[in-house]
Parts: sequence; C-alpha cells; structure tokens
Amino acid sequence: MSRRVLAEGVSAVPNGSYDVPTWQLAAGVLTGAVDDAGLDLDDVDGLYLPKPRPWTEQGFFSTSLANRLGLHLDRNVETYTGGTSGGSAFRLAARDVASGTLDVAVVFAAERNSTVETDDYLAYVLETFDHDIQAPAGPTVPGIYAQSLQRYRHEYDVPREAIADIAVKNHGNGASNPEGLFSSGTTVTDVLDSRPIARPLRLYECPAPCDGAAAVVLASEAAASAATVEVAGTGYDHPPSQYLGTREGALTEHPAFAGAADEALGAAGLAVADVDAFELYAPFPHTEAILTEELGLFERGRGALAAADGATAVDGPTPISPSGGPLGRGHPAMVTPILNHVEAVRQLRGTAANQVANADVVLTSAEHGHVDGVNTTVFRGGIDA
Amino acid sequence: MREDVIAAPFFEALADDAFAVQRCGACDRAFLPPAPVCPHCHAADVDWERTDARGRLYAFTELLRTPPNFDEPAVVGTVVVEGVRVLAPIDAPYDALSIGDPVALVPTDGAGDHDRGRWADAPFFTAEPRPDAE
Ligand SMILES: [Zn+2]
Repeated sequence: MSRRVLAEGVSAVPNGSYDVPTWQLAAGVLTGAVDDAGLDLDDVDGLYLPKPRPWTEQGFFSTSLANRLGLHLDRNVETYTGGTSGGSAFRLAARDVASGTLDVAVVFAAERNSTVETDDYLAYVLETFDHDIQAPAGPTVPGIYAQSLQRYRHEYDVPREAIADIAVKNHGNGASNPEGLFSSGTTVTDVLDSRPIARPLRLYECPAPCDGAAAVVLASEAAASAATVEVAGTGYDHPPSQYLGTREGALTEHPAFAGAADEALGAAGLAVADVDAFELYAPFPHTEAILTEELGLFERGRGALAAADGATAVDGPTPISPSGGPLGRGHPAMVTPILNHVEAVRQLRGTAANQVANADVVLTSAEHGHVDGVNTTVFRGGIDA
Repeated sequence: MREDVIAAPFFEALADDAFAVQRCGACDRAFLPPAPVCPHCHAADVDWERTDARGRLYAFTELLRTPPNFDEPAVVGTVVVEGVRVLAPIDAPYDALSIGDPVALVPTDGAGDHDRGRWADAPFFTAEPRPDAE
C-alpha cells in the first residue's frame, strides 16, 4: 500500500539566539505547523525529529514534548546521524504516512547552539572522526572542507573569486529572507578579507551556528484539507566513506548526493531538468558547486562559475538555495534540513521570501560528515488534494 | 575475556618506529581504518603490513581554531600512503607545503591531549616533509 503524502503545514522561527528552553522552541513550531495545516493537535499521530544533541537540556525529548502537549502517538522517532538526521526523520515520516501506518506526522527540529561553548562543540565533533586513527590528528569539520576546496581548485583550476561568489550569492539570498540570521549581504572582497577559519576557507564561507526551529506536517489525503504540495519522492545514499571521500573517488566528488537524488527523482517520476529550485544542505561554497555537478547541471569544475554567471540566482535558470541555505541563512545544523523542506513548501505555495517564478518542483537535501551520507526530497506543487 | 584488538598491530608498529596498513590477500589492496575484512572485496584474508611510511600530500589545511587541547594554529592534512588516505598532523608551515609533496609518517606523542582511550599511552603519528622520498 502506498498513499500520496501531502506537505500540509509548515512553521519556522527566524534563526538567531533564543533564551527559552529547546522544548519551547519545538512546541512553538510544532503547534505552528499544525495550525498552518488547518489541523488540531488531536490529529497528530506521530513525531519525527533529529535526536537533540548532547548539550540539549532535555533528554527523552519527544516523550517529554508529547507528554507536555498531551499527544497520544502511534510513532515517535528520533534519528541521530549528524546533518542527515532531519532528512531521515522526514523520510521515515513520509514512509509511515505512505504505508498507512498513520495519517498525520509532524517532522520537526529545534536546536540551541547558543548554549554550547565552542571548545565543547569541537570536542563533540571530534568524536565523529575515527576514534583511533583520525581524531588524534585534531581535525575539525571546516578543516576537512578546506581540503576539498583546495583539491577542487587544484583539480579544475577554479578562480578563488568564483568560490567567494557562491558565498556572496547565498548571503544575499539570506539577507532578504526575514528568517535568516544576517540582515545584510556581503561582497567578494569582504569574503576574501574575512578571517581564515581553516585555510583556505574564510569566515564568510563557513556556516554560522545559531539557534533555530522548524516543522513540517505530513498528512495522507484522508487527513489533508487544503494541501497543494506533495512529497513526490525521497532518497538516501551512503557509500563507504568517513570524511576523506570514498576509496575510489576524489575528495571533490560526492556520490552520495548523486545516488540520493537519483532515488528521489526516480520515485517522483521526474528528471533533474524538471526541478525548478534546489534548497541544498551545502555548508561550504564549493560544496554547492560540487553538488550541482553531481546532478549533471554543470561539468566538473564548472559549478563554481554558476554563481558569478547568475545561473544559480533566484531568477536564474537553476536557482540554488533561494532561502540563503546554511551559508546565507545561518546554520542550526539539526534544523537546516527541516528549514530546507519548509522553504520548498513555501516555494511551491508561491509564498517564499525569495520566490522563484512558477516553481512546480523543488529538490532539497541534507548531508552529514563530508557529504558521506545524503538525504534528498522532491516536492511537487499544484496538487489538488 | 580474551579478544585480540584488531587495531593493535597499527599501534605496535608505531611503537617500533613503523607505519602499518592492512592489505587484502584476495584483491591486494591496502586499507585503513582497521577492519576484520577488506572494505574493497569483503575477503577475510587480511594481514598487517609495515610500509616504508612514505606518502604524498593529497590535501592540507591550517586550522585557526582547533579542538580543545590541540595547538593552535595547526596544520593538518591528508596523506596517501600505499593508496590509502590518512588524516595526519603535519609538522611544517602551511605556506611551505604543496599538493603532492613527499612526506614521511613518523611516530610522535600525538598532537593534543585528546582522550585516546585504550591507546592513551601509544604513539600517534605526524607527517614530516621528506624531500628524499621516491
Ligand atoms: Zn580485498
């Protein structure tokens, strides 16, 4: 049994700093998305979320929240695979609605990075590297992406400014997104003058951690009242790799993204050319370029030039991250995948802050590690539920 | 409790001033991190092999912010040895390095005082430029 899955309601808070408990942020977007869906809390059958990270005040997070809100659940699922957690929570929720397990699922995430010290965060991230032979080298996540940037420029002779152009494009989109962290954009000069974080990566080329929360309500046709957006397909792929690329491929290749996108587009019966906008989990500028190359939108090494050419602008032929994405919007990492999904629904409703004209199909992604594992979702609008 | 720790020969080699990888008897490819089977072909016929510890610099960075208890800044990179990518601290200034540079992986005390668990007293390794490498 496979039923149509509708994206019925969305809600998000602006990225920033919040001095309220994480559960309160979560409750706000959960009830907001249920309201947006025209449903009641009584209708909620399932909660799907990334397991909140270790510095979150509340353990048993979904149990605590469901008890607090008086939700009688058929399913509560907390996923924990880094940046893909929210995408996997979404995929599992969509599957459970499609299979008839339940009718109304809320996928959400809430995260307060303002409560974690940088040293504690870096120590936590260090444990995601191989304990015995990688972590003792003292790596950081930007330190890995810095190396793929170095390789990308080396292999394809990409101008340094082209990388900065991608950050400028995303910061510009983020600045005109009222839910973004920053109120103004930046320039190539400012990007390249910003302080180095992990050479050659500069501050404005790194996603800014912040607090955030977002939710999406998925519903069956039986439960949906006025939805116009459906989840047309989901995908996931994870070749063997842990931060240093696959054994067969270069550090500048992200085959997990290609695999996940193929699966989601195949499930939707669509091709890449049918996609009108992309909301990607691309935490660093060259990563965005590589992801577009994995989709076949640009030749290897040419994706970086797309931002300068305007090809990936909101009004370009291939809009990438009209919301600003993690670079331009700010990056509560567990929330970013849900924010991407919220933005996709808004694009298809025609209510996005940076609206892509006549958007009918949007593809979102989430990734973890160095794009070791990837989730994708294809949304289609214009549905008459 | 009698269990051999699969990774032990890697650290025993470092203690003997050597750098070891695992190699598959079926497909002849080398690999890390330590595993009970070959990650390429899944054969169980895998053995440790001490290399000449020479490799080439595949990519590198200078971290201006490091995890707690690691020197800051720090140069860290990826070295290819016997076809295997290995993450390593690099004992050289960032600006003195180029992709493809020959390096040697040499035993050291490790870069920080990160909790290495059962390997707390074992050597780690650092990449040193070694221009005379092949
Ligand atoms: Zn093998």
